[in-house]
Amino acid sequence: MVFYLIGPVIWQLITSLKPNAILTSLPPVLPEKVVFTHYVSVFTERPFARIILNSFIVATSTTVYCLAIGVLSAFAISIFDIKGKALFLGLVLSISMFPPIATVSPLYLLIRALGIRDTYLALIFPYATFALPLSIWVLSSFISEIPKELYKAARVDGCTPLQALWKVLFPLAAPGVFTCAILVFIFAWNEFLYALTFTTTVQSRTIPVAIALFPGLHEVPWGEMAAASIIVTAPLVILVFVFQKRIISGLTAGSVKG
Amino acid sequence: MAGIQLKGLSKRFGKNVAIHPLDLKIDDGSFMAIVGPSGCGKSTLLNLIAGLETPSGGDIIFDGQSVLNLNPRKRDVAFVFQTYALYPHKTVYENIGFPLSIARVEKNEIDKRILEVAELLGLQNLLSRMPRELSGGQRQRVALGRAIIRQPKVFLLDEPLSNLDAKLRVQTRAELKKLHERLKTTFVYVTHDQTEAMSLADKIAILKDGKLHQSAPPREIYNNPADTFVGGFIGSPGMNFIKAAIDAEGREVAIENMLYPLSQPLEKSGDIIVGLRPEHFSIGEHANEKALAKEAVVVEPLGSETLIQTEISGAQVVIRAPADYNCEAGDPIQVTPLIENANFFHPETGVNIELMD
Ligand SMILES: Nc1ncnc2c1ncn2[C@@H]1O[C@H](COP(=O)(O)OP(=O)(O)O)[C@@H](O)[C@H]1O
Ligand SMILES: [Mg+2]
Repeated sequence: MVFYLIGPVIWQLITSLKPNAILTSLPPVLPEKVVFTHYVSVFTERPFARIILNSFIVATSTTVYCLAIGVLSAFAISIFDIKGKALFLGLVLSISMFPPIATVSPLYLLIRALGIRDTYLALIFPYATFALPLSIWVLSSFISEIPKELYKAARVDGCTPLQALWKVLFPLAAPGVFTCAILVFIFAWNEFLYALTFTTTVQSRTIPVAIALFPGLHEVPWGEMAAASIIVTAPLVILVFVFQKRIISGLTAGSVKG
Repeated sequence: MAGIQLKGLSKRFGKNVAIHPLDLKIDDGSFMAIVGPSGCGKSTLLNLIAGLETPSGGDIIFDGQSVLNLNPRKRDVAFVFQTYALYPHKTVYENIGFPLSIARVEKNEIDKRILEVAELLGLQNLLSRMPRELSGGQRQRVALGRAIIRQPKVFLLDEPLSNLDAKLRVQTRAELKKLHERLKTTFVYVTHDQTEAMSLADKIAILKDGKLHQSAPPREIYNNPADTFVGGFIGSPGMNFIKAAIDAEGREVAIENMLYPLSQPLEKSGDIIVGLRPEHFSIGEHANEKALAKEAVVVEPLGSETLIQTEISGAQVVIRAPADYNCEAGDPIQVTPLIENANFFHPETGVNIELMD
C-alpha cells in the first residue's frame, strides 16, 4: 500500500536526478552519478520561477477569499436559526457537483467579456466558485460542533456577533479552518482545465499547465518535467506536515468542552 | 442592580410553544428560583431575559425600562451556564477577565479585579490553568468568577449545580447563598431540583409545560400550593392527594368512611381532592375515633425520620413518622389525617380551592 502510493513519487525523484543519457533506462534505480542539471535548467532555460509565483498567488488568494466568505457563511448557518438551512446547504453542495468541463465555455465567454483573460482574477474567481461550497460544508460542520453556549456566553460577556466569531468560535474552529485551507490550496495549486483555458502566457500561467507545455516539437524533456514536479510537490507536502501539527494541537484544545 | 418585570412574555419555536404568556415580578436584589421539570421552558425564559432569544410576545422590563430593544451586551446581565461554557482556549485568568477586556477596561484595573474575584472564590492558584485541567467544581467557580467580575445588574444562573456530585452541590449551594448575601444583586436561578430552590430562594416560580403555576415565597408554596402539580412537585416526598367528598354545606369531609369536620366551611361540595403533606398524619398502633386502620406497605428508615407508605382511598400515601417509630412492612397501623393542615383541590382542574372565610 505504501509502495503503491509512494512508488511513482520515488520514480519521479530518481528520474529527475538522472543524466539525460540514461533517462529512460529500466529498472528505475538511482544512477552512480546523481546530477542536478534538470533542477537548474528548469529555472535557467524556462520562466519557471515566474510560474511558481503565479501559482502561489492564485492559490493563496483563492484560499484567503474562500476562507473569509466561507467562515462568515458557515457562522451564519450554524449560529442563527435560518429557515431552509438544510435546503441551502444542499443547494450549495450541488453547485460543486457540476462537472467543470461543462462550465468551461460559458465561463470563457464571461471572462473574455470582462476582459480579465490571462490575469490572476480569471483563475481566482472560478476556483473560488468551485471551492466555496466545499469550504462552507467543512467549516459549518466544524463550527456547529462548538457548543452553542460558548457563543451565548461570549454574547452576554459583551461581544458583538462578529467579536464572538473572531474571539471565541474562530480559534475553536481552527482545525476546520486549516483543513479547509489545505484542501482549497491544493485544489487551486493543481487545477488544470481552467488554467489551460483561461491563461495564454507566462503572465498568469500556472504550474500544471506549464509542465504540460514543456514537451517541445522533437523531444519530451522527461528529466526537467520530473524535476519541476518534485519542486512543486515539495511545498504541498511541507504545507501539510506543518499544518498537521497545528491541526492536531487544535483538535485537542477544541475537544474540551466547557 | 435591577428589578425585573415580565409582562405577558411568551416564546414559540415554530409551532411549538415553549413559554405561554406569563407575568412575573422579580424584586431588586432578590433571589428568585425558577423551578420545573426538564423541558418546561426554564432555559428559554432565562435566555429571553438575557436577550439571547427574541420573545414572540410581551415585554421585559428592567427597573421600569423595557429592554426588548437592547442586545445582550447592553442588558448588563451575567449568565452562568449549566455546562459552564468556559472558553476552552483561554486560561482561567483570561476566562475571568474576558468580559472586562471586551469592555476595554484598563489592563491594571482588569488585573486588580481578577485577583479580587479569584480570592473571593479561592481560585488564586489556578489562574494559569486551562479549563480542561480543572475539576467540575473548579470550573463551576471559574464560571461564577466570570459572572461576578462584571458587577452586572442581574445574575442569571441556569442549573449551575447540576453537573456537580451530591456533596459538592450542597456545599456550593451554601456558598452561592453567601455570595448573594454579599453582592445583594438580583439572582434569577433556574433549577429542576426543588430542594435547591427551597433552600436558596426568597421567591420561587414554578413552571410546567411553559406555564407559570405559582410564584411565591418558599414557605407559602409549601403550605399553600396553587394546584396539585405544585403540591406534588415541591417537597420531598411531595404532597399526598386523597380522593374525598364534601357534604352539601361544605363543613365536613369524608375520607373513606370516616368524617372529618372542617374548621371553616368550603365553597364546594361533592368530589374533592384532599392534599396532605407526609408530616400531616398522626400514626400509631392504637385506634382512635378518627383513625383509619391501614397496613404499612413499604417502610423506609432514613435515619432522621421514617417514611411509611400505605394506601388511602385507592391512592398511595407516604407518611412521615419519627425516626424511632418501630414498624415493618405488613404491620397494621392507625393513620389519622390532620385535616386542619389540609389543602383542598378541585377534582378535575386540580386547582386549590381557597378556604372560605
Ligand atoms: N432553539 C430551539 N428550537 C426549538 N425548540 C426549542 C429551542 N430551545 C428550546 N426549545 C423547546 O422549548 C421547550 C423548553 O426548552 P428549555 O427551555 O430548554 O427547557 P428546560 O430548560 O426547562 O429544560 C422544549 O420543548 C424544547 O424542545
Ligand atoms: Mg434547561
